[in-house]
Amino acid sequence: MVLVAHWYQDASPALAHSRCLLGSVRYQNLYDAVTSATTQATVIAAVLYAAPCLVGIILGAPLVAAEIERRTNRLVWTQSISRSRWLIIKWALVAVAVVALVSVFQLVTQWWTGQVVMRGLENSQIPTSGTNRIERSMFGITGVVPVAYSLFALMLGTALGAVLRRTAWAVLATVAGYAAAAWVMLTWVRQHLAATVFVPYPTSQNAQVLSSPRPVGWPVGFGYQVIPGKEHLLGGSSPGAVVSRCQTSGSDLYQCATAHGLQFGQVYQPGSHYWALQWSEAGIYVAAAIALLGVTIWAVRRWRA
Amino acid sequence: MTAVLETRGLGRRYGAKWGLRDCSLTVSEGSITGLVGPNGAGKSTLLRLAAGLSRPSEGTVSVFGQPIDPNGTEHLGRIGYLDQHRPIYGSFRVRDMLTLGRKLNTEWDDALAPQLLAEVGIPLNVRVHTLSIGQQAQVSLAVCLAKRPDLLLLDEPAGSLDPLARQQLFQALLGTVAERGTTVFLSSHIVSELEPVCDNLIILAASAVRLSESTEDIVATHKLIIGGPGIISTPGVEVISTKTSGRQTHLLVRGVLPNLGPDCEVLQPDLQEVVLGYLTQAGQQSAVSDGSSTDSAQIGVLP
Amino acid sequence: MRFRLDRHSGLPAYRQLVDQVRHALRLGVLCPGDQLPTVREVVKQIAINPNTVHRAYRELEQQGLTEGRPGSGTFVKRSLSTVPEEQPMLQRRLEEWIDAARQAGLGDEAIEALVAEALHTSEEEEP
Repeated sequence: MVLVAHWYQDASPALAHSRCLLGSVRYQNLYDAVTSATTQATVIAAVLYAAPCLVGIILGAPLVAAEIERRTNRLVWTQSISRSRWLIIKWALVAVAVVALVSVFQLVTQWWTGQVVMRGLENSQIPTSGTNRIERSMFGITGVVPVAYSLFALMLGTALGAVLRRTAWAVLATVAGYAAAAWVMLTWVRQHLAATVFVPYPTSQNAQVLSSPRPVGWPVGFGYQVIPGKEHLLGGSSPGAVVSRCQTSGSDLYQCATAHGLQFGQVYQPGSHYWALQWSEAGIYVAAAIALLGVTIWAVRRWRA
Repeated sequence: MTAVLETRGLGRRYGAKWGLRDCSLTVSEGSITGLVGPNGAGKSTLLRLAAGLSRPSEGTVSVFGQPIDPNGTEHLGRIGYLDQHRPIYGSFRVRDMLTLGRKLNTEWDDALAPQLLAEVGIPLNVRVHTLSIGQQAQVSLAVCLAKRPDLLLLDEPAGSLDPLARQQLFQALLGTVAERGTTVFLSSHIVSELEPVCDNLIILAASAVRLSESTEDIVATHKLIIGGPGIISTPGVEVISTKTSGRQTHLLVRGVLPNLGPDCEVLQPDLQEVVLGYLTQAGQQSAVSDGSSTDSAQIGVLP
Repeated sequence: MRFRLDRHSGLPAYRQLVDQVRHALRLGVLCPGDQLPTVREVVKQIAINPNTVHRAYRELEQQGLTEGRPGSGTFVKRSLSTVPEEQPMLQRRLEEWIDAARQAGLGDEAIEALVAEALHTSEEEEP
């Protein structure tokens, strides 16, 4: 059975997720889960999401840039050790501090998100399994990814500082770069880090959607697939072509699509995929951080008075 | 005499402008060489090239016989560089600066820096930003000297310091240098400061080397001629600069002078006057190359 | 023994140091067996080139006034001051001469000028 699915992203949450420092718009599920103290939870979550970015700005941007601005690089780069060694040592000291700080911070966050999940479960109609952390609103502040984010933000700040050579510009560029990376990750990458699951909408006899199932996990979007056993109804066209024909035909979309052997449903990442996604995403960010370390070393070695 | 620093045709360009051009000089081991010239002449550029902080646009620079590799570390262990801005970490304590020096260097004399600072009364446990600039300069110099370099590159080490601080800085520097015979290459735009200190002097003006000789020879070979409007030109005598006012002409010349007769007065210029003469020459030459009117005082003809 | 550098005298620095040592020897500030300040100490007193001090000390050695002991420093070998016993006699003769000059009608200024002239003449004759 061939599973063909197209994602139709819900644009507004994606845009909201991409902004590193604004947190109030995105937390649809969080809002559902926590009917009391919503604002408080939103603000706290926003701060927690912003924390890695702030680490990058505060510690990373001036790491090389401030040395160049204050000309202290002319002091340290004329001592006996090489520039790359100097950079690695300085960066490593800061990185260790960052990882330690964020890890401790994470213990607190983990407890807090656990509280939110439990209270949400009490208040909402979401079927429980205790793994709501995979949702967009909570994924980025739980588990191991915050440490990876902070290392990435630190390295991004350092690299941009080394290339731009001015702390102020590095700050702006780091915010923009971090936001862009987060947006790309959330919009396109994360859902592909593990195989998604498709749950068809239950339909009535005449192909009316009865309800929208809300399985436990992260709802990626809605999609469609071919009903097993009804491939012949497609008439040789691709599912995408059939859907666009149905959309433009003017008739009811669902009836038209069902007539051609397609069914609509929820595409989601189940809660059980949480750790797979966590480690994969963390791995990507750490790999990016290492690449940025290489960029920084190149920029530092290249600097000339 | 081995050459500790040697440049051949060295040049550095910043965009369209040359900060230093066609610079060829030698600094020999154990000497104290002064680099003098006005601001913007290229002194800092030359010192940064020697320290490996800049890459040459043309020509070569070698330290201890090896061309400098800006990303290599062999030469770094043997030089001590002090930038004219004397960068320092203000939030560090004095002893943290010394620790920084110890950590970043393979060779480090642990006892020297505290001794130097004690001699000028600088405590080790205060923060650097609370010190006066003269004291901060002493700290920067101490870090430089404790590295026990074979070549010191100092860019205006006493710049903006009051007279007492200047003297203390030079005393600390020369006292340490006297013990080890370290080669020193330092720049200043104050000739009187360099005169008692330097064996050799290099005059740099308008991004070019104008003169490179021992201080003794400079004074011995140059003469100041004061005379009337026409002065006999003589082969073998080089006119460095000319200043005319009314009917009197001052010529700075170099070479062996014949008897010029009673109309001319021959005086011994001091080092400051010689340097000023060369700087004037440089100024006149760039005025000519800029296309402005030629200075009317040329070598005179027979009256 | 403290040195001083006169930057406007026109004399080379090493010459000034030699002269100052000779002056000290004459006045009895330095006696045979005394150690001259080390090069490092001189350089710290007046910020001059160490080579200048080396040169001055070499000159003094050549003049036979000092000797360098390796590892210890430079020591005074010979004094330039007059033998102490002669001093009272010289002083008496000087006082007699001054009395004679006063009786001849010379004022203090004229006496000082004569003395300076005589010193100048004798210095020119000194090897």
